[in-house]
Amino acid sequence: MNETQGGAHLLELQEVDAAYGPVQALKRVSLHVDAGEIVTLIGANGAGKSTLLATVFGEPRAARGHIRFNGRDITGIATHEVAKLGIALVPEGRRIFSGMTVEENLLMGTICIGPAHVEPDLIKVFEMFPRLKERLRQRAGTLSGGEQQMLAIARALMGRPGLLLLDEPSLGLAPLVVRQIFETLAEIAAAGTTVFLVEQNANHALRLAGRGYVLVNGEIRLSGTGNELLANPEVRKAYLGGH
Amino acid sequence: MAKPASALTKSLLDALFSGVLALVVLGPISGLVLNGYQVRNEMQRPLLLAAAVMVGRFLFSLALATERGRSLLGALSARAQQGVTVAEASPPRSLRLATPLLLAAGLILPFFLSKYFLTVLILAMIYVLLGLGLNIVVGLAGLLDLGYVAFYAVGAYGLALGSQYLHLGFWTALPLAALLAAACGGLLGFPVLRMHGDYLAIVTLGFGEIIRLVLNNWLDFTGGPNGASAPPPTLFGLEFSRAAKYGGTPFHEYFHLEYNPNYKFIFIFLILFAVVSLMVLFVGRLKQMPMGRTWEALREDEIACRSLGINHVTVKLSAFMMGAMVGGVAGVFFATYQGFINPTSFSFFESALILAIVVLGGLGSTVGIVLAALVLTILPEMLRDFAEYRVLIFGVAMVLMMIWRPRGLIRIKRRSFDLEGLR
Repeated sequence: MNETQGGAHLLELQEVDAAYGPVQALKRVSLHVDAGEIVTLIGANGAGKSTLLATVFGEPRAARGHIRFNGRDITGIATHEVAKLGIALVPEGRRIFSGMTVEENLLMGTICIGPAHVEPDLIKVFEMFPRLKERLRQRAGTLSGGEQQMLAIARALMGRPGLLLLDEPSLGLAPLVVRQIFETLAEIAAAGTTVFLVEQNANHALRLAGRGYVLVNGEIRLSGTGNELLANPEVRKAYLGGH
Repeated sequence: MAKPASALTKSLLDALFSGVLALVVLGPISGLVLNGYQVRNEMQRPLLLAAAVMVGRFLFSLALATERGRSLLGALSARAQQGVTVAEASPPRSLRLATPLLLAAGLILPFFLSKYFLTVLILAMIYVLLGLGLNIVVGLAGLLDLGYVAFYAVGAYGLALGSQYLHLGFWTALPLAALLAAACGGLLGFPVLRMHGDYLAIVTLGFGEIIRLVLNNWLDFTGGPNGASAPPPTLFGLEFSRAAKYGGTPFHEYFHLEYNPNYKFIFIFLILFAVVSLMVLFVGRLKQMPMGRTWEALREDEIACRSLGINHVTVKLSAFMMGAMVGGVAGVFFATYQGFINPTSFSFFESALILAIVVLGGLGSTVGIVLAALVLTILPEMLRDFAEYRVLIFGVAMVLMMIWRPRGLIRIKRRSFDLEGLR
């Protein structure tokens, strides 16, 4: 799944518009993510970052433009079919199944590919997040925030995605835990899963990512490598506290 | 540990306070009796009641002051064990023994019971079935259905009307009525797919009433309030009546036995017992299968489910239809056991009762629901003399349960999966 076909990008958004009723959330958004990359999208609250990820999953549907995955047009595909193509989402606010055990949460992640690879995949996931193995039989709702975020990422990985979308994984977590999570994201990318990360925490995100985009009021304002954006005065002023 | 003296004063103060409160609340209700157009003053009654409350509160407070009383209350309350309960992958030994024992008891018991107890047990088993069915919808999938009785009615009328118009027997009607109920479940499922919580509850409530009203008012087809009669089950064409009504041979003649009206009920009980046992097994399996887990996941978080590739439409519909089907089966048994049905058996109170069974039993817990159904149907029969207070006791039990055991009699245990390489 990680090879791009015919030189196409792994994920490509082309002139995508999206709206919630009369409110237009995305305006002519074009961006791409290539296989093996870590790409980040930064922007302020309400810029449309979460909407962009949701649009990949068809909720809301792109009103115009195209979304392609692996060269295939997925603009009109049903929401529950997207995961089967190999795109996994770690939703904002984690959204783990808090009444179920850690184990059951992880098993839910395999719904889109079936149970064939459960055991080797669990072993891999536990190497990445040893804490989850300790908490295996515990209700997911009793985990700490950081552990819940790890669980959300692990659950997404259980579906063997080619592309991992993350919506603000640093939200509400202690700085130390955030650093841990970002280190893990680097590991995940190194292991061959492409990572597309939506973040408000621009500093961390841009240091991790090879490339980045800046979303302002539903439009892509800037793009470049992580280091370029970190050095960009506009970005520094708006997202990095202006030092 | 508080000093004995201060504990005593505190208990006395508590008692005094409850006494005053009881007087205020009970005074007007029980102290003033309407007699024709006059109000009679009977203040001695609230005073007696208040005195009883005070004594009770005093003893309770005293008990709370001791270590033992506190630990007893702690054991009663499930708050203390709010955290984690995960079942072992294999059941404990005591349980493994219990299952065959229960099965044997269920198979032998009916032969030694009077007709009265048989009918009570049959009714109890029907409620177990209803509870298990509604548990799929409410307990597992988390869809609050207040009109569950509709499917019960569809099953019951499926047998009655099927025999009346299409000359279906019990055994043909059983699967057909179940399918019909499932179809009705699908019919209800579609419009409510986008609804949650309160909205869903109201729509299902309306659906239940619609079915009852249609049954009540479509005189030509359903017989309206006059009801319809339903055929009893047969054993390979053998009937259980004194004389054959449906063109078969009576059971007792075929086997040269003395006629006994109990045979019919014993037979119904045995089939019902088999169906309930299968259902318990089935629901237990469901919870371990991806389907059951998906229902639970959908209850927890719909958005997460959809991002994981779960089609929420089919999942919700399957829960509705599965639950409806079980309700339909229960309805068929109800009709055949009563021999005659009319719409008054399918009022909203029935839906509420079934929901109470599910909630009291512990949402999602099979054992709890079986227990709750047995208790809620057998207890009122045992307490025939108190029949008028049934609903009151019911309400009090609900309130107490929600305070002390908010997750039901038996808390659902999460299963763990014995996977290789996890140890």
